Amino acid sequence: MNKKAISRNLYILYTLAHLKKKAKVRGTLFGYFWWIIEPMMLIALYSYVVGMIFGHKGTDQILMIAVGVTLWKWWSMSMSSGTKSFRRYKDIVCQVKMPLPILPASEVFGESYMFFFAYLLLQTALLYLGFVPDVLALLLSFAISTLAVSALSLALAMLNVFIRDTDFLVKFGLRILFYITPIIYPASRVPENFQFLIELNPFAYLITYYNNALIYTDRVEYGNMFYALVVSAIALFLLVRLCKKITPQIIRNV
Amino acid sequence: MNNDKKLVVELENVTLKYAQSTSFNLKRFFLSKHERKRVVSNSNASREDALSDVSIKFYEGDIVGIVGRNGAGKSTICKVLSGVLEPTTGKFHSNLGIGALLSLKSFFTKELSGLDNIYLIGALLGKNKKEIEDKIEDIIDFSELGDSIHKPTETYSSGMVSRLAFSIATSYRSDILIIDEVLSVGDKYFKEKCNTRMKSIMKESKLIIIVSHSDSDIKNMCNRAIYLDKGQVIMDGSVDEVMNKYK
Repeated sequence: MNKKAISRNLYILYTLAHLKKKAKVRGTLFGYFWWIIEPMMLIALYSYVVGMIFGHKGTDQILMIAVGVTLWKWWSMSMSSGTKSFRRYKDIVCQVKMPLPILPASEVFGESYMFFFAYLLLQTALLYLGFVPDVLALLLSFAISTLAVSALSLALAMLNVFIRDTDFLVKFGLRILFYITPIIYPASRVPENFQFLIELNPFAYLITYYNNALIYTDRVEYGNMFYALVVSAIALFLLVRLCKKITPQIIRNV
Repeated sequence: MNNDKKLVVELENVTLKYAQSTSFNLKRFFLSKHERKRVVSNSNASREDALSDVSIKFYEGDIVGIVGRNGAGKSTICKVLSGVLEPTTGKFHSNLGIGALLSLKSFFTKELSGLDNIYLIGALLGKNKKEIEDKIEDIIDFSELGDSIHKPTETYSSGMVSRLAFSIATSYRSDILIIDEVLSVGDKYFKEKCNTRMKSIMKESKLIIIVSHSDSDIKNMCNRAIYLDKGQVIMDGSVDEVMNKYK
């Protein structure tokens, strides 16, 4: 791919992501403030449920929930809108010569916008409370999660073209994943018999990377993170190749 | 014909087979073999070739009208020309920078404003931010949308959408312009304005492909016509000859 094609594709990616986010808040009273209000409301809700109803106290606990909920919103919204992306942009898929992975990637990129605003708030609160992040671990966590979520979104988007039930299954799947990922509870509270649910869940690892980078900086393990980065990058590369190979089938079936 | 003109795009024995339709559903799974055959034969999947052994040469300065019944392969040929679909067999040569422009109206994202859609479509047509911004004023002026350009396109009438689509289509110019049914644009006044615009861009584009069901569009604008049926070229020649045959 030449330089011009790369810059064109990046501009399409940016335009789709930016304009879609803009459209979402168009005509609302609070406008772009929703990018901040929404995650704050979620954090407040889960902190109330876990802190007040379940009685789990401690700043760490609330901060972990805040980190987890903010991240989960980013990933789940990316994957649910990524799943529908080929069908949503059917006319573009069928009529514009462009690499199709841009479409699910634009959903992930657009949700990253929202995450970034929520993250800034969160980081300010963390610094105020005395938690200084491990910047390298944070950057690695961001790179791993972007690659992994982009890969999953692309896989689900392709699957949804051929098996249209995928969209329904993703909605249920994400709800189940939210509860089996240690977001509103620490991994240590999961009974030993069910620890495999955490060991097999890639999102549990991603949450741990962020918690370690932001709160428990002494627990950061760079080796594991580099390994996860390589695996995510390979998965995304292979899925992009697969998408290119089956593009005629996608155009026919979308 | 056209031997004195420069060859710019060529389709050589192009056949495009439909990729197999492979959506899975339980209904299809439980249908009897007989029922499955009946369902398939009633659907598009029954025809194997979307284009069958198509050979066409396009020359610089051609304004080609493509006519044919629904399902004849008109839009498919546009997709091959714009590079979206690659021929299953045969060759496609092009010396031009392809500017994809098919059914532009369908690109509109209804929750975005007209202005945002100009950016989005510009990006999809391969333009960068500066190239898009250079044309914005021209697009808004020509479409006569005024302040409505800032409103979501879901609030537009179909005439407004058509006007905007036509303005975008004819403002972002490429060497090759492919227009698939974007010409049915509103009232008589605007139609005349469109015809004038088309005449001016005809001088600038190297190749224009127009797909239309309207006899008058083809007769007014094109200097050559191609009649397609069931994925095959039935006739390629002067507009009058082809339109007589098509009738």
